[in-house]
Amino acid sequence: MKIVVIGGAHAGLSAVNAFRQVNETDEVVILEKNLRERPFISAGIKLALNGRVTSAEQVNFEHFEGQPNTTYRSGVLVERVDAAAKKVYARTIDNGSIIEESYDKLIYALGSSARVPSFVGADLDRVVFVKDEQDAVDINKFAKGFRKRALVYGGGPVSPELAAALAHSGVHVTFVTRSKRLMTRYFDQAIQEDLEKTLTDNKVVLRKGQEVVSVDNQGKKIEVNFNNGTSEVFDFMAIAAGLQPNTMLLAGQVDMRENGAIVVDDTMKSSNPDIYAIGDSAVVDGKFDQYFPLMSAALKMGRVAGYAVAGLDVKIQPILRTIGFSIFDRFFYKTGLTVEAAKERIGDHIERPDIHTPATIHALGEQTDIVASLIYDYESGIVYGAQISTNAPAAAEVITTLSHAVSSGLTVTELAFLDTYFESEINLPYSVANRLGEMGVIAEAKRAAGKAIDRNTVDGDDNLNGFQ
Amino acid sequence: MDGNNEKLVLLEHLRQLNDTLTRLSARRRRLRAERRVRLGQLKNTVTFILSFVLTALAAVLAFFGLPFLPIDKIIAYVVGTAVAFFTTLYLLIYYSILNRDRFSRQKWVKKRLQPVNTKISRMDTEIRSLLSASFLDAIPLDARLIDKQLLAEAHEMVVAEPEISWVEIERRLDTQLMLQRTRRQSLFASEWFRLFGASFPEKRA
Repeated sequence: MKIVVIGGAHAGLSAVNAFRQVNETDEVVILEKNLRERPFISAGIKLALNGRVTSAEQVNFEHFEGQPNTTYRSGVLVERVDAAAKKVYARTIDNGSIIEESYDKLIYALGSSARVPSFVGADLDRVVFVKDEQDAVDINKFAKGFRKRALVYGGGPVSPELAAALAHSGVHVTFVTRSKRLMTRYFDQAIQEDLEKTLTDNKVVLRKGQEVVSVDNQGKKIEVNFNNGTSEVFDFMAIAAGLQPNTMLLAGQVDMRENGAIVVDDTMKSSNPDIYAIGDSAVVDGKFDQYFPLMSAALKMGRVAGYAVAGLDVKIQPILRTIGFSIFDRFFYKTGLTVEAAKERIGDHIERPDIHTPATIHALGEQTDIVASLIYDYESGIVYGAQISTNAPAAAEVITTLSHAVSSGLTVTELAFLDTYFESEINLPYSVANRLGEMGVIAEAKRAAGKAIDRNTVDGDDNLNGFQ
Repeated sequence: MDGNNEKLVLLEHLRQLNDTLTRLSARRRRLRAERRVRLGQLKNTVTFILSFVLTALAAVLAFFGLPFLPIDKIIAYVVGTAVAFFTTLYLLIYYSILNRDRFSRQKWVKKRLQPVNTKISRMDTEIRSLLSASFLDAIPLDARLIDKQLLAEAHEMVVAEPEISWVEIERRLDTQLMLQRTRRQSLFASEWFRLFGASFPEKRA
């Protein structure tokens, strides 16, 4: 059997490395356009701006391990995939020569590319995207200097992270988003408000509900015109307007969603049984099948494909698009669906209690807190999503518990009494995950009794745990 | 996939192709600008060094050595310095009037510009590779219409009228294009012509 892997970034290499764990004999060929064997991740841009690493390229996870019977062809651009003939045609960047590879199984891992917004001037020199190594170089170049002004455009987790990192490196940052609140696809109101407060408290200017109409060159700066008639001059603009799957090579050859993402089953197999699609190119068919390209999901999808091609009986768990990011020492996490997404998929009977509670025992000195929301179906009690913001890094683990609760289809009652750990310096004995479940239990008891439901709760008004 | 979804997916692929083309083309332009700046810097550096050497040679010729050297060595000294002076002067004039294109073809300049030239040629190859996508072989739209705004309108047409044919979409987009005040060629059409030397879908180069 010969396996061809198109794309040697994290998902592709994850598939190859998993496959090689259980199969050392079959031939594997990896086709990758970049020349380096350690793939780039866009999180490196933020870490480099924050001064955590000296350059964005230092951050990576998977790499080609040089296993036997494995060929890594770098500097190769795949031009055509003929699914009927099971052949891949590619061009070498060095001399433009065409190479041809036949396959028995194809693993498609070409990832995603930055979406270009439709305003005039999105292709100007001082308008950069936030995706690859060259973007990292450009952003670093533009951010250097005294009193630089940047406009960050976007609605996903990359944009507030970038805004915070630029502000950290001394740039005056303005953040523009079309929505009336930040990150509407990821968070509901309680966390959105906290996110906005964190940014504005740190001098990031927010332009919410505004659209960029055009960008013009103005000497060595750019003038950005907004739809409310105002305009402002910036040194550069960074766009993180979302990602789109790179699936043109398989157009018309496998089933795809309207956004071009290849539809795969829980073993990463596409509608063509010899083609597996993983990472940002694919979307797993199921209840939580929104297209949210994330590296954590890509690595798992890659491993599942690798083991499945090797003949192991493995299946991916629902990808809940669990994300986490930090800005100005505050951490934001999300798993599962938002209220709006849940109403679209499950029905109108969705409830969302919010809580603001201490994350640790305040008497020990640290004034930590968590703002959390739970999204559940009040008819069945099943939990569909959760969101958290906190200044306690250890509290992050709560999101993993909540992700597991969503994945397993736990009800609020089960969540309220789920077994969790307690360590006096890290968390509280009754975990935030349990507390969210308990709020659901109380809300439903009140609903059943015809009483008003309290959707916003503030805990910790005593001397031991309170916000004293 | 049903026919309607197929149309939407194809339009989405065209939109994505347009996006990628926009980014690659913008990056190539940025790299070319960087190349121009580096070329200018190299030219400035070489003329500065030559001017400095010329000044030094003039100073040597005028002030140093003459009063101290014996008469039998003075001729060789003056001739040598003068030759060096005029050679440097010639090089200075040569580099000052040399146009950027010829300057960039010099071996030592090429060597210094190699990293950025490699990046530019990589962009060219990426664009070529992008325009070689197999789904473009049977694309039902004209290259002029592969433009972000027009594709968005085509998307709306398909959503509103799922049974609409490609011929009808093309006809309506043509009308839209005629109504637009600017008649700028689409990026896709211009890149295609640049690369293949013929109008879409022909390839001559």
